[in-house]
Amino acid sequence: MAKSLDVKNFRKQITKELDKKMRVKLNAITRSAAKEVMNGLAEAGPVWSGEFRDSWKATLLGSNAIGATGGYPYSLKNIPKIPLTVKQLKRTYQIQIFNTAPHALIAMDKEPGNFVYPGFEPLKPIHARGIRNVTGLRGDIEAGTGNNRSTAPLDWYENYKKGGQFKRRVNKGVALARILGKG
Amino acid sequence: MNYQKIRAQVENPLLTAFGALSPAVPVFFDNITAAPLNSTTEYVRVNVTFGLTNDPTLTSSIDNARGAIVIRCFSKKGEGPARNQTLITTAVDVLETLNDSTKGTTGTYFKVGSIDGPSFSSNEDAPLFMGTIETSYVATVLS
Repeated sequence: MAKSLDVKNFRKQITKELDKKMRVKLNAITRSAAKEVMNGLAEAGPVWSGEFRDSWKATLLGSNAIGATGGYPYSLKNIPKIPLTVKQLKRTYQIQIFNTAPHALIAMDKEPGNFVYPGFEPLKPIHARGIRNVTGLRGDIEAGTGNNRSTAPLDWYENYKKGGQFKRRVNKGVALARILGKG
Repeated sequence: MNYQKIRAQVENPLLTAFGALSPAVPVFFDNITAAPLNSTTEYVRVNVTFGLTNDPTLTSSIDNARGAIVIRCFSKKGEGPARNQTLITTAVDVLETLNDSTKGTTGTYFKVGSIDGPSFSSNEDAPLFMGTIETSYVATVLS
């Protein structure tokens, strides 16, 4: 009888230990993928002063935990650690990525904006130069004699999400976590 | 890769559908001069973007691509959303019809994903009311 109890306890302990290791691995993979996605967004999007590029943040769903403040290139420090609880593990969505720049929606071509030359040249090479179309959207620039400029194509964000680059970044993050194993 | 064939799959039916409306609504695509600045007449702006090309995970064919389609409908400001929603419905109907095609041995096989939106926006600087829908697509050029 005592022997069977020992076996039961042993099995329980092993399961608990394996479970914890799996959760640690999941933590590492999720955070690594989030970091890669943020770096991908920063690289695909427009960069004039760098404010928008450096304003991507990751927050843990179910808590207020936000990763350390910092700009591009993002590292694992910028992604909050995921608690190793079963409750957290059961969440379908673990991390939310968002941009805190006040003009984020304009930068993502979701809203028209008012564009004023800030007095300095952009950090990223010019993608298009000409006349900004009637839509008033950041990236909607028609080649011509005008001096409106943009540093990322129109609808870069939709293309990033739906064109396969997002998935590619997630895959890269998962692969990196497997190699480096940091979590 | 034949990008023009892929683009034509979505642009031609949209042009036909908006042309059949009464009154017909002009549609502007990439690199085509859009409505003049401060235009107050309605129009549609279609942007087809290409993401990954020759993605081997889609099919065994290498002539395939995926990307996003963003359709923005502009209508008169301050007159309610009805007209804008009529334009959006026209665009949604076209996108849904694209999914009815079956894969043959020639031509271009084109499928769109779920449609995000419509989302509506209007600000004091913009002369028109804007409705937007977005979707993903995968396309394979078979011949």
